[in-house]
Amino acid sequence: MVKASEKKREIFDFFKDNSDRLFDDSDLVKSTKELVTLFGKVIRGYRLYPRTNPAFSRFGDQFKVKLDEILSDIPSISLRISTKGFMLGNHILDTGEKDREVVFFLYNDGLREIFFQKGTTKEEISQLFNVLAQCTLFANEDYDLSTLLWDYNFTNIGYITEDELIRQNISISNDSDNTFSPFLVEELSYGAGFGGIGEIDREDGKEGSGNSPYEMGKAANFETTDFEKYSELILKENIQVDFNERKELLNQRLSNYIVGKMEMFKFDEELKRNSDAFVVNRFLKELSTRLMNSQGTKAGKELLETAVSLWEKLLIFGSVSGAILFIRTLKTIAEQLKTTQPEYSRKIEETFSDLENEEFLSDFFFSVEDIPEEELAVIGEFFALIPSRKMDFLLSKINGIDSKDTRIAVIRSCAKYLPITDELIALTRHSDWKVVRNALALMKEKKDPRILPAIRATVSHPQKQARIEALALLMEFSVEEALPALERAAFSSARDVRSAAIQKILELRDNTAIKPIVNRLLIVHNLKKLDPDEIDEIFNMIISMRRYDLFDLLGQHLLTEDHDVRLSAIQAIQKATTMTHFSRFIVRAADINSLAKMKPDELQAFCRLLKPEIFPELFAASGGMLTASGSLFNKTVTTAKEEFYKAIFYYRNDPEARKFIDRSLSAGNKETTKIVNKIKDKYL
Amino acid sequence: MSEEQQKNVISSDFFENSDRIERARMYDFTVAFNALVKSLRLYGSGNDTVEKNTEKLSENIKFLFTTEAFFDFTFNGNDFMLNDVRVRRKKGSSISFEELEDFFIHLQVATMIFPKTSGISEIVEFILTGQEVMKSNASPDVVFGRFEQKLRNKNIKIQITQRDSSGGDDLFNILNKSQLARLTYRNMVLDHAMFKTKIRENRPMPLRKAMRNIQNTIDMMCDGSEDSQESHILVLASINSLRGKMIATHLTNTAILSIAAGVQLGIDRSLLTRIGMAAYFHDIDLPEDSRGEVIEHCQNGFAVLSRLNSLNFAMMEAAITAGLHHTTYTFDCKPIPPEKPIMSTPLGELIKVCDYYDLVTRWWPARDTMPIKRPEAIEQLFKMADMRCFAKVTVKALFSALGIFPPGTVLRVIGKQQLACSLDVFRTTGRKGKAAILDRNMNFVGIETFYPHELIEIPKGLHFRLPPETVKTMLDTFNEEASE
Repeated sequence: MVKASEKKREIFDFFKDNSDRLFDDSDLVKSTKELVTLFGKVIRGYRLYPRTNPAFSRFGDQFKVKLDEILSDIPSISLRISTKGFMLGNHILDTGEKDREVVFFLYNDGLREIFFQKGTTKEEISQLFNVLAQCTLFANEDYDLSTLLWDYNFTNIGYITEDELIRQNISISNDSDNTFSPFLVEELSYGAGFGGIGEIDREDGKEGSGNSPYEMGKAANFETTDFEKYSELILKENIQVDFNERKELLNQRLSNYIVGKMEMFKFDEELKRNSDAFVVNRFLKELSTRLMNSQGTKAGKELLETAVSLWEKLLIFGSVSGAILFIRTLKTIAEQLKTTQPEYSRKIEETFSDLENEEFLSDFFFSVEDIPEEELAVIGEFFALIPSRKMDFLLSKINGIDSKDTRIAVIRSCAKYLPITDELIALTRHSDWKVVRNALALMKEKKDPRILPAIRATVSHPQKQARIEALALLMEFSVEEALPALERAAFSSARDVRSAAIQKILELRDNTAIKPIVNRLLIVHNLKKLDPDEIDEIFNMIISMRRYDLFDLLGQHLLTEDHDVRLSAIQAIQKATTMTHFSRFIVRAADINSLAKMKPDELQAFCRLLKPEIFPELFAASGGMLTASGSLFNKTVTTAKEEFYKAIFYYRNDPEARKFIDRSLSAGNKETTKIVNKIKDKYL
Repeated sequence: MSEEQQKNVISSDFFENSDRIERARMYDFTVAFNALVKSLRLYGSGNDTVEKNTEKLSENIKFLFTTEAFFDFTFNGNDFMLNDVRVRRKKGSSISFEELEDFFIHLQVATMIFPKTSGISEIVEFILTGQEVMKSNASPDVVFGRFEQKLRNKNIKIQITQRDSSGGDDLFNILNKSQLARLTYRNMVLDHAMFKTKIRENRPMPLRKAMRNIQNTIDMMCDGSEDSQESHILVLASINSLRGKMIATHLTNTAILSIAAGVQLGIDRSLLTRIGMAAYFHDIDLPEDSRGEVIEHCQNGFAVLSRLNSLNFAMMEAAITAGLHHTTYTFDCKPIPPEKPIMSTPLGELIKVCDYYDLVTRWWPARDTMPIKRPEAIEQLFKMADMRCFAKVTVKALFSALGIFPPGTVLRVIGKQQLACSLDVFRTTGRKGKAAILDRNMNFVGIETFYPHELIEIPKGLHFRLPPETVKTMLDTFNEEASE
């Protein structure tokens, strides 16, 4: 198998040696330029847009397509990075001015060549983009492109850094200033930088243990010629060794002391226990202890200097728990030094000013979506350290979080840790409903009676979303408290509010106060004020939520005079799993006179309600059906009878239905007999 | 107030210089500079907007001269830096520095160095000169030279440095592994001074430089190929010191040994980087003339390493190790057996063992105690592990990394009147390892391979320190092999 380092050399040499030939291939040059332009787009994009922007995924796709196109002809493509631009072999790829800026960025990060091999996957490209994003967004002294690329250890993407290159035709003797030379060790061994071995290390040459060989405890005045004297001492000793015995001895030593598999496993387990979080905590613990114990010393001052800005760094880099721990530690120290070093203590306190610095907090919110889940869970604890007068700002920033999941996680955490303050309560009157929503969300877990008036007041907020949120919360808080508001909301002029309120009301079970409200709501007069589809929505909710206790209120609409309401009721009841709860209303509505008044669509829909579970009750009351007949000029009775019998005939295997059909045939009504026989002929 | 009390009071300057304020000032300066460049381009001099921007820059610039006579303004392709400190852009801010970026890029400038004596009018003239050169559409090859020349002609004292030029781009070769091994070792030793300077000046340490060296070392040790540089690097890590660089050499050696021991424990590559970095910095605050009677460097070392640039676990490990590594042995390698085992972190424990090994086997100029031979050092480590000074598994890991005769050990060839120096890792008796044959004056004679049982330690009481010529020649053999 070819090792990565050899592969790298092969690719480097190939592109160097075939530079002109490759550059003659105009298609290759064109595609490579496009690839390079995509590089530029990605890097510039990260400066402008959040990483979650879908454009980056699109760029990734385009990059992959372009790469595959190039790699269909050659096994790898290598882009050289010079200060003048991207290069293919020794030729500069002439792209836009903006791309020169990008290449400058790559160059400064020590990259001199990046190559992609056939088989580069979309995932690798995405990861490469991640690296670019990290270097663009969070550039700092700790890493650069090459160190991060190393971390990813790509199979198909390789790179060459400035450290790995040496100028050709370098003249070693004139190379004292050339930092690329790997030969400096060799040169310096006789020159100014490398003389420590075997010589006196101190500049003055007076002290030190420098000379060798050493006889235990005797170092001074050694002459180089003494080497011989001492080596003679060794060599004159005649050693008789049995090689086999010696080999066995060494084998024994190796098997006893070489690290074994089980030890490796145990060490690995130990490492797992010492996760990154453990290291952070251990570090902070050490720092805290040392801070407490070293006041007044140089190291103490140094540590304090570090500590005052450390919590900010921890926060920006995602360790929320670390930042919290550290702020608390600093506060404790400030408290303890209050009397002995008041100035010092005051200054430490001053360093927390960033906790209310909107610019700093905005910076923090900018990277909040990159915070790991477990750290997000304690973000509320951190916000609790921010003065409550900044609550307004904080909640607006929470609204600004793009990702819904992150926003919910942040609110959940805040709800857990943030105390209820006057400032928070005041935010329930904020003009932005999202701020109101978040304020309510933060309070809801608390069950603190102080928040009730605020929530009640929010029910009348000018923005309906705020009213909805308040209603929902009020319900969670106390049904008794919520009901009057809910009832009002159910008759609100805003559809959203009405719908939400009605839904909340219907969700309330085992509450005797509900039925009168629903009853009032379902009065035809009130229903007619609603949007046309809203009636269906409410009826369907009653059915789907299986509010058996309210079925009678719905059923009575089968008997209502209003066609639209009646039809809505019929259609909703059709969706019920059984008609038993509606039997008495269906039976009454199935009276031939009522049926004759129904419009064809309504009639057909209604007849679908005639199901076996209500047959005994239905047929007992259907005497009129057997005897009634239509007239020459009015066929409504006949039509109604036909639909009725069709519905019954559908269940002809049911004994009650069979009995009723037989009864109808023997009732002596010609029309009834004719209808029944006609249907019989058709279906049997 | 007594002198002692005065010492303990922190001046308000300390807080004035806190990160946040400095950051804000740097940002404001960059915004003002960018605005001035833009307005000069659009309106030329003598315009109201230009006047306003000039005034603004003049106000901002004075903060940069409070302590320094010069300041550097650099653009590295991604960020602006003022005196090596990155100017943090405001996230989500719509203000771009595009104008200024273009100015740097077009003119091929890396850094502008402003002396305190330069007035604002000189800065305006400087910008105008630059824009004049930009308008001339000079090619990238000549643009910088032209700009520099014009500045000289106009006697403008602001200096500029050219962006790292890749002139002669086609004249590079890729280093062979052996060259890279030595270059990496050398960089690790020499970079130490730069890190010390950064610490002294309270500037961010460019850890990425150290990181690259560590990563290169890991690659070379673990690449599994026939020409793996493991032995070469371990021989390099047996070097006592480059002249005047005792601590730097110690840190480099400890880093290499820690990586090698980590590899034996099967630690994955990301943690190998971490251990290498932590080891490389663990004694960063140790003064060059350390005598060993004090171990304050632990306290100070922890303090300077705590100045994190980011949430960097390697540096946290380094700080923890720096703070705790001498809890079970003194600087002059005397054991301090603890009552019960003290564990810093698993990686920290591994570093401790390597730190001890390198300390105890080197000729330390300011130390009275003798170094001990490498195999004896391993024995001593096992003894101290029994005393709970070290975790046994970490000692075993180091032994596994170095073998029976650690690289750099002077040995006797059994049955022959010859001395040899181990240049290989003797991990098994079934494979021959490489050793340098030495004559009676410790001169290099040649390279031979031996089974471990053909070699034996030199008698107790004698300990050789090889002459530099011998070490040089031995190291050269690695390069010759690569050339062949």
